[in-house]
Amino acid sequence: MHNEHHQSHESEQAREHEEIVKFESGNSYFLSASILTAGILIAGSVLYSTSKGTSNPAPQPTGGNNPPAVASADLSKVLAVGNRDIILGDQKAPVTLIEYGDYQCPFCGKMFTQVEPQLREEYIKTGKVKMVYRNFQFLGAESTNAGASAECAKDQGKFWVYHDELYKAEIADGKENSGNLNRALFVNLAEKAGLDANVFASCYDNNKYVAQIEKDKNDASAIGVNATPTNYINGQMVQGAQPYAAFKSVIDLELTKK
Amino acid sequence: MPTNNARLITLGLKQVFVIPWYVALALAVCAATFALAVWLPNLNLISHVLTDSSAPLFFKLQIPLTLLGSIDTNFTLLSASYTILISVFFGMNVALVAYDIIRRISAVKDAGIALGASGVLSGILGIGCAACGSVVITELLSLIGVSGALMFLPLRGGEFGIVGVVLLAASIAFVSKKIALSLVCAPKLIK
Repeated sequence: MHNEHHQSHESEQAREHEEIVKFESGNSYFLSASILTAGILIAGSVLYSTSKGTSNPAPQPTGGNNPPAVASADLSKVLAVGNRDIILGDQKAPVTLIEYGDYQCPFCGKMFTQVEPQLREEYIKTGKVKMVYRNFQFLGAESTNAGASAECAKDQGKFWVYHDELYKAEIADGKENSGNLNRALFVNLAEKAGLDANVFASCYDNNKYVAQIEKDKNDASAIGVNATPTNYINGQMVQGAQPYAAFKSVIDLELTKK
Repeated sequence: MPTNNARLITLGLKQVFVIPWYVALALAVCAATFALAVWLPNLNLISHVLTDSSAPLFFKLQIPLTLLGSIDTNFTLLSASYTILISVFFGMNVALVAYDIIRRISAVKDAGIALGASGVLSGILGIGCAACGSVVITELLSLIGVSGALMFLPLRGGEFGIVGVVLLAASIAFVSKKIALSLVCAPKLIK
């Protein structure tokens, strides 16, 4: 009985010792594997980014980590409200909010539905903020076409109504590059927004503003925009579909300075 | 003494996280990692507000706090999930590694052996490499401009977040087991 107990205890010790030896061996393999994995991923990403020959990463919808790109143009010059900018709100409002968006970007859609209604009600209608929407259409041909169609709406003084209808249609569709943003939809939305459909269609069919869309994107890239939505509140970048409370805080801070 | 993996891991975790200081350390690191991940796109805004002498203190506190809400508005379900998991797992890893290092140093001091800096460093690397590497990878990739590469992946870069979670979970299991085995390992058992 005593011998059986002693043998059992020795077996237990031997098993534990074997466990320790196995664990120590596994330790070195795990260390090697983890260093190798980390090294390959970091080296690969560094090589890829340098091989692209650009200091700015390719744009993408926000949705997680995406720091702004390096600005290479004069910010104040690019952000100055120009002839192609259609202001929503009072021209004399002390705070200017410029949104760079893509009509297919789901996070721009979130901003449209979750931030803009309150923003318009509490700040734009009350004369505290004026808003400008600019194109950063990068998610494909449908985005470019949508942006160009909205520029045609500017010609008839109906930009913001058309802009809202476009976002509603894309949010309802819910998919990027699904084919829903097409000429038939654009003409339909133009009619809904009260535009002259024939004038609008002529503008769109002649690709009047396709080059403008590309220029807008390049100008935005030059000041560090690389994701949508990117907003500038009195020149201060606020990137991403931030909660309304964040926009409110930044705007309120700017209002204290006026 | 327990010898199967799950019981060893549980034993190791319990050993560390019954001590309030290590729980506090894990929570602090978790919170810092989460905040950094969420604030990353707007670090310039936060820096500007904090250094703006004309900005009232209220806004210096409010703006960073409100930006934390972007985990709900500016993240997909996948990216929010792995961001939170990585923050939690990294916090746990740091606490486990800190415990193990302190334990090692104490054990060596007790044994009267001089421990050089390289010994401590190799211990840190041996335990924490996967944990540090995976957090660095998921945060660093966007900083060094690989967004273009990510867009071609099926989950647009979410794969790295998932890899990070897996590596960190594996690291937790590894370190916990190591801590637990130190409880069963007595010098006389090692031949």
